[in-house]
Amino acid sequence: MAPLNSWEVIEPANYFKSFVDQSSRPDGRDWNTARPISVRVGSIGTAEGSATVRLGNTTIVCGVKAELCRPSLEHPTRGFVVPNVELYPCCSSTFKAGPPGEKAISTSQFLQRLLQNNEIIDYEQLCVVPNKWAWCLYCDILCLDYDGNLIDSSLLSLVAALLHLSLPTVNIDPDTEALSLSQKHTQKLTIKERPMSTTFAVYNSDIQLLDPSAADEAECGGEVSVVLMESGDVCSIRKTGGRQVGVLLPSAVSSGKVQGFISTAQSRLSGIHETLKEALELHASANRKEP
Amino acid sequence: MNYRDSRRNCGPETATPIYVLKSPFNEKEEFLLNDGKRSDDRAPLEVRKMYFGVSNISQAKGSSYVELGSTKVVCGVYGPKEMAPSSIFKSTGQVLCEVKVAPFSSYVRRSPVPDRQVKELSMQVKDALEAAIILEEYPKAQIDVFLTVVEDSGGVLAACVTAASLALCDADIRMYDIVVAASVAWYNDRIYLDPSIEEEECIARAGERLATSKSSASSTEDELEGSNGSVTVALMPLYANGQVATMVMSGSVTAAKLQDGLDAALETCRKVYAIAKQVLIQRVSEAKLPEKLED
Repeated sequence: MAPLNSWEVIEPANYFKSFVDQSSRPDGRDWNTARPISVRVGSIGTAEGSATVRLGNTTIVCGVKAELCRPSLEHPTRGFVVPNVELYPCCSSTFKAGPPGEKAISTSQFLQRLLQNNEIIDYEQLCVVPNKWAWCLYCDILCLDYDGNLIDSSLLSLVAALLHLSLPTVNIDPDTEALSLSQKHTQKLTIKERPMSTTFAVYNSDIQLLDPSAADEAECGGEVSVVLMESGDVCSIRKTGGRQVGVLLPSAVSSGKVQGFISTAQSRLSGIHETLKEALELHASANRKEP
Repeated sequence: MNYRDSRRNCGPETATPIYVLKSPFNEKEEFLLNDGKRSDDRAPLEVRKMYFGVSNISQAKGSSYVELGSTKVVCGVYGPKEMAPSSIFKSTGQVLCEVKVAPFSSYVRRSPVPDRQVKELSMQVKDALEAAIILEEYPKAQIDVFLTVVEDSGGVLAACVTAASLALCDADIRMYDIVVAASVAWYNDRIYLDPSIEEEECIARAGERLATSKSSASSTEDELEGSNGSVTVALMPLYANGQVATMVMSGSVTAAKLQDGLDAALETCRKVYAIAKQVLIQRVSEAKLPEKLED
């Protein structure tokens, strides 16, 4: 942990403002610079699919565990995908021990809705025998170091882990209906879309900070997350908080601003997809070397 | 899970892990393969590759990352800070230790709700740390030690203890010595250093078989009448010529074999200590000194 600056401790708001006034932030970035992204897939040997994502200091690990279950009565030909975000107190002093807090719950819900409401995963592919057997993919997203921007990093780790996921083939004995699994995990899941999120922290009506760190989030009133498909189409926009800003400046997030957010997010899109592709290719070529 | 967790996204009521149908482990009850190597290509007295790192959580006062083979543990230390109002008054410092195990860390998914094994593990790590921290230096204060097990492939307690003491050193908490831990297993009278999860499971199964064969008097096969068990030792190698902070042993081992195994474990602890020390010295030599304020 960096040595604390006494001004920062006593007057955090003024300290932060002094940076913003000079078009920068305490970590040295300007308002529209994102932190470097790194992605690694296949880092957890015990998970069927896994990915580690770093956004600056923020470190997220996503592991997918596959289990077999009975499909629900209302959707007999669909499997399940269950994303959960865990913010353990290990990753930052802002999270308390015990059951998940509001931030973890809301992020889990956001990811769940994103998967369900968009054509991202083929849920039908997760069904083995209609009304009998389906896959349930538990996607646990673990934060190891929390330095802001949970939405972007957890979504990226979830998508990367689902892309890395490979399942064993299920064989069913026609007479006894007994299940058996292939030794090798070879079945890949079809991911139709790779949604990517870009988050801005709202400082005031004029200033929005791209890819906020934990320090930025603490000083900003709210966040705007724009989720785009690979084509650049918008699939979700989420605005949280912003109470202080909203009362004083009702036009803090007006329609003109939203267009600005979307175009900034579109300009970052190809870079993020490139990083993801490189990580997947690196893993694939490493696998080819050791048969 | 018998109840529904209202704070998490839940899957279907019942789901079966795929490893019920297909064991991830070698089913043979054999440790040594024909060439005298273990299933992961190690000699019996060879430890897995280890990696230690410190100061990797930007938000924590002190932090560490430990890898033993593919076992991965992250530790963050916060404090010393004011004692929680709910805690019982103590004039010395208190250690709060909580281990979290990632749901995907083992072959069979673990529920995110902490179970008894995890609580026990937290307690064992806490006991080892309380012996090493100079608690008198922190009156009425609390030191939080949080550990996250990212992947469990054997030797979790040893990895947790080493990770926690590295993170405490990184947080500049005053300690008598660095506590380092190592584990040793006995199987059919042979000693194996640093058992993997596969070997740990194998020993547990052998123990179960032994218990059932002893209870049934008609049993004739005595092939398992050797020493089977495992021990994890946490050692402070320099403090008062070497003090054991925690020792957790299970299984049935003859007294002579126990001594041999403990000697091997302590020897490993000393090797781990040398690496831990090197990592900490490197961290101190690379540390940026706080900039002096200009008048």
